[in-house]
Amino acid sequence: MTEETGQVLEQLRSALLEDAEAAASISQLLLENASQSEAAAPWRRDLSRIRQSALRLYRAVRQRLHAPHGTASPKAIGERLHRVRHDIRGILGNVLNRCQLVTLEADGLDEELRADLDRIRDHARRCVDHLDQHREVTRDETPAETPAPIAARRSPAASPTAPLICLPATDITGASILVADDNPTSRELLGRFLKRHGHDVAFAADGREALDLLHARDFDLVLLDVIMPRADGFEVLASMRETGKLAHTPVIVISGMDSGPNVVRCIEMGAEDFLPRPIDMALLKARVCSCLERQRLREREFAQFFTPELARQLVRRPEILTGGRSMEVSVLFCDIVGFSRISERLGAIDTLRWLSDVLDALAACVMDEGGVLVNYVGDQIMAMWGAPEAQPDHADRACRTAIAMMKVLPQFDRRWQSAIGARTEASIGINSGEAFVGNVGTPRKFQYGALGNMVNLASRVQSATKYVRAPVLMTHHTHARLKIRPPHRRLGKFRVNNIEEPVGLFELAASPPADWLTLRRAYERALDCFEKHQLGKASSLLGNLLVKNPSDGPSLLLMSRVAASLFADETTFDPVWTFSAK
Amino acid sequence: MAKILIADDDDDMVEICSRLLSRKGHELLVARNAEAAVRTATTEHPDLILMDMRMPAADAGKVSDRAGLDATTRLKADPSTANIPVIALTGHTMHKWKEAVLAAGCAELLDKPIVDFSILLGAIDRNMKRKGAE
Repeated sequence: MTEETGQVLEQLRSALLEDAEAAASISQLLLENASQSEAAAPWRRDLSRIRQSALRLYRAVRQRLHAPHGTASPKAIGERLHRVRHDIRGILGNVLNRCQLVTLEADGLDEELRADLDRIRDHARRCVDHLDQHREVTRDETPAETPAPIAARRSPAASPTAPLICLPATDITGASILVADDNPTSRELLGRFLKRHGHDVAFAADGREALDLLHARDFDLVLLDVIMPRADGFEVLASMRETGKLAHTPVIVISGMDSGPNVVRCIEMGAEDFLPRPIDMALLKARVCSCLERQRLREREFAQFFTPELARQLVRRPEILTGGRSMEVSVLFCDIVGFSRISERLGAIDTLRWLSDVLDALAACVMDEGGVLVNYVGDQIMAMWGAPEAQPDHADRACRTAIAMMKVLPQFDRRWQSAIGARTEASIGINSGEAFVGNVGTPRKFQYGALGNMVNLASRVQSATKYVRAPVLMTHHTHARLKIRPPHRRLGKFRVNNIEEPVGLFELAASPPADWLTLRRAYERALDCFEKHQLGKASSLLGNLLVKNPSDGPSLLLMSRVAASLFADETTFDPVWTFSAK
Repeated sequence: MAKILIADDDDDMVEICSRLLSRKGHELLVARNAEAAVRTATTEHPDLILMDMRMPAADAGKVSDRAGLDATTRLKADPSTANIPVIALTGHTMHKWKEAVLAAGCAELLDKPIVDFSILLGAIDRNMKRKGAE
């Protein structure tokens, strides 16, 4: 026996002694009073048994429940304590039950005797509480005779021989838990306990109410009583299985009022675990924590690709992910410029370090705007908005992300410019529209993303940035869906590789210069002229523009096209630009 | 009104239960060991059994912690007694034990001491109702 166990045993002993002594004293008074009462005559034998039992209780605690002297083996100590505990419980039963029986049978008993009986019962009840609270000391230390229980295999964490090991290092809090139990005391008890541990608790007093709540909200965990009015636990489990909720909202069945077969049936129906009644709070805590821990692990897997909030939802409702469907989305491709050149210079290890630095920061921009990181390989990021949950402002989110990405890049120059011999730059293409959204990987390798022409176009638009000489481009599809338009300009119509239909491209200005509006107006006027084949006017507008902004890429490019068109035949003039390379 | 078998070797417990249950109009049968419990259940077909887990296995036998558990397993294996609900009474507070008791087929498990009769009476009522519903 450890010193600590010895101390706990000593605490238990003194607590029990106090109440046993009180019960013994009151029973003595009771017996004296009863000897003078005619009404109490038929129950004198009971009262004297109560007195004897109270004395036996006191003696058993005083003489037998103590830390051993000398060097007894742990097994012998365990067996002795087991016997003492069993005897004490038996004696307490006799006291409690006889007191209640007399109260029940003896209608005409006078008030003073009744009050004494109640006081004795109270002390005996407190003794039971002491025993329950200190069960780790008086539990069987040699469970040689106990057969292997069915649930011990299922949750070794909950084994009472090691009640604390199972608790995760940090307690999980903040989970939303549904307590479905028709017993109000039990609801109150569970609610108080779970709230004290920082969880958000909802209650259902019957199965119907539980189903309604499950329908209306998502929970991280359900504590489910089996026997309830209006739809029992089985019905709740069956409905949860039918709606697919069960697969990802763990259910702990509260049993004890129910037979073993019921528990087995619940587990077969998909319940995660069970909790015997009367509910032991340490066990409850352990089971709740282990359920939530498993949940959190799944969320962490999802969190690689989704925002934490979304990951949490997806764990609860994975059906959102598995079925493919057509949705309105915005897709963003971001490519780090000069990756192969830089990797040649830096070597593999430093390239990876630089790249993961940069990609991490860019991915954070996606998460900040509630996007899904579809792909995250090599020097490219693909992100998506508008799925799995509809986001009416998906185009705005994509554009804000692009701007944030461009703004985050300069910070890498301080750290990396001297090593890589260049600035860290990226190019971005954005497109919006209907796409097939779902698992675009294989059944073996899950990848949540989007498929369709609009995705291909977004990728082509990203490639087009180097021809158009603007680092961030969006299509007219995205432009048309913007609710708030950040600084941008129309760059004209383009035909990108392998896509016949011309697409209108717009430049997004991440860091617009002070005279942006003037630049934009002048450029767009020149573009209008060019598209109407008013080449002279276009070239004179562009000339003025380039005097003020000599390095403006789109203006230079438009100037070169105006010049080329001046020499060409008017009949072959096409205002749509065609890129030949991908 | 039901026929209830109490299997317990504790005289006080038997006396208290018989007084309490006869007040409620039930008929009480008594078995003082596991062997007698199985025999009485098989011949008398009680409506319900209150089974102490710790009692002698047989007459004049040594007290065993799992005699009641073994008796329950035997009753559940016999089709003629399998559907008699068994309410287990135990002073064991170990969860391993409780799980084993439930797994053996006990309908319910009550901690000893029974702190209040309502616990016992509630368990009896519940199981009689459930049995009646079947």
